[in-house]
Amino acid sequence: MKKAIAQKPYTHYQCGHCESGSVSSIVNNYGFNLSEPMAFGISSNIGFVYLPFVRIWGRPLYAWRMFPQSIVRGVEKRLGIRFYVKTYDDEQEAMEELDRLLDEGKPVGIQASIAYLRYFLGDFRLPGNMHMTIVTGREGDEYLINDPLWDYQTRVHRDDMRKARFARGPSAPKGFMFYPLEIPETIDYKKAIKKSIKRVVFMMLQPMFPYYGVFGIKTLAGMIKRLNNNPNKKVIRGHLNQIVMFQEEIGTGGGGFRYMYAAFLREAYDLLKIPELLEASKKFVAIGDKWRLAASSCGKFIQGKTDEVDLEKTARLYRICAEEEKEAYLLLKKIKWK
Amino acid sequence: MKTNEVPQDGKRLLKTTLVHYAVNDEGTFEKIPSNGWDPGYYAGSNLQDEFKELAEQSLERVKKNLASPLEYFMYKAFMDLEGLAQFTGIPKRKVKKHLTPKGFDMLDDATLARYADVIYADVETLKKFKSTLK
Repeated sequence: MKKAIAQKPYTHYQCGHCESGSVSSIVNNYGFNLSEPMAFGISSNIGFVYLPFVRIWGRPLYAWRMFPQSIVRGVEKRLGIRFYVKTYDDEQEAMEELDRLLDEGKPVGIQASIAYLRYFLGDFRLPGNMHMTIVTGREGDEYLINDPLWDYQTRVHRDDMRKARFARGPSAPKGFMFYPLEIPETIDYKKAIKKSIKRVVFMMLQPMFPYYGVFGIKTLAGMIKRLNNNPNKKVIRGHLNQIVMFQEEIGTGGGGFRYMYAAFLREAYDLLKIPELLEASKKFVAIGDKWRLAASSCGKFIQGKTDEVDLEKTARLYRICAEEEKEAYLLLKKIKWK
Repeated sequence: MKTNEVPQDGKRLLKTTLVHYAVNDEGTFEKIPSNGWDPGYYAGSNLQDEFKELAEQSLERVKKNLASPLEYFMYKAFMDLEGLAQFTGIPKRKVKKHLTPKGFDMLDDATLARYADVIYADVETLKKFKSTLK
C-alpha cells in the first residue's frame, strides 16, 4: 500500500452519474487511474428495483442501481483502495473538519441534498438527499464545487452547504464524507471482476422477490399493462412520468447505466481477454437501446401532444428488456474463470 | 447507442450537458455530452407544473380558510403529505392535522421551526402568511 497524495491542480472530469463520477474523479485526483465505468461495474452497482409500497409523490419508487454510498464501499472492498469515510452527529465538527481538509489541499467527496445546492436546479428545489459531489476548495464564504455532472466549476455558500450536508429525511446524508487514504501497489483485476460479475448475476437472476432483478422488470411490465384499466388519463400520465424521470433524468439510472455497464465489460475484456465479456458488452449496448426505446414509446403522451397511449406496446417493450437482460446475465454466468 | 445517436434535443432542467457512454466506429466507448432528451425533459417539467398547479389551488383554499398555509408551502417545496412527514420526522397523522387551519393555529414555535426547516421558509413568514394574503 502507498499513501494517496492529492494531485495539484485538480483535474475536472465530467461524468455520467453522480456517485460513480465522484468516486472515479476523486481517486484519479489522488493518483490512481480508475475510470467511471470501472468504479460503477466493480462495485456491482447495476440492478433493478421497483417498490410499489414505497411512495414518492404518491407513486412507486424505481431504481436501476443499488443504494447510494454503495459505490464508495464497493470500490473499497473489491479494489482495496482504502477510503476515509465518516458521518457526523455534530454539524460544527463536520464543517470544521471539511475546512481543515480543504486548507490542506485535499479535495473531499460529500453527500448532499440537491434542494440546498442552488446551482443544481435553481428554484425547482426537489427534495433529494442522495447526491454525491466533490468539494475542492474554499474562498471566503464560498465553497468551490467540481460536480462530476457539471462541465464547469460551481460555487456554494457556506450556510447552504451546512444545510445540504445535514438535510433531514429518508437516507439523510449526516455529513457523509469520503476521500482515499491508501492505494494498493498491485490489483488482482481478475479476482475483483469475477466477484463483481458473479454478484450481479446472482442478484439479477434471483427468482424469489418479485420486485428485484429480471423478475422485477416483469412485474413492472405487468403494472404498466394494468394501468390500461384506469380511466383517469392524469393518473396514467403521472405514473409514466415517474418511470421516465427515474429512468433517464435523475441519478437512478436506466438505459444510461446499461451503456456504462457495457463500457465496464469492454474494459474488463481489454484487461482479461475473455471473449464472452466482449459479447456481453455488445449485448448490454443493445439492452440500453431497448430501455430508451421503451421510455420514448410513451414520449408523445408525456409531452401532452396526444391523449392516446398504447400501454400494451409499452408493457411489451419493457418485457423485451427483461428477456434480453436475462439472456445477457445467463451469458455472464457461463463464463469459465480459469 | 452509437456516437451519432446521442440525443441532442436542446432542453434540459440542469444547466449543463449530460455525458453518455456511446460506441464509436472502432467498437470502443466514448463520453459524448448530450444537451437534452425530450421525454426526460418533459417528465421533469411535468412534475414541476403539477406541483405549481397544486400550490395555486392550495392558495385559493387558504384564502377561503379551508387549508392551513402549511399546505401551500408544502406543495411549493415539491412535497406531499407523506413526503412532509418523512422529511420532518413528524407522524403522518399529526401532519394531516396540522394541514387544517384549526390544527395549524394550535402549533407551537418549535414544531413550526421543524416544518420551516424543510419547506424553505421561516417561522415568521408561516405565521403571518395569512394576513399578507388580504
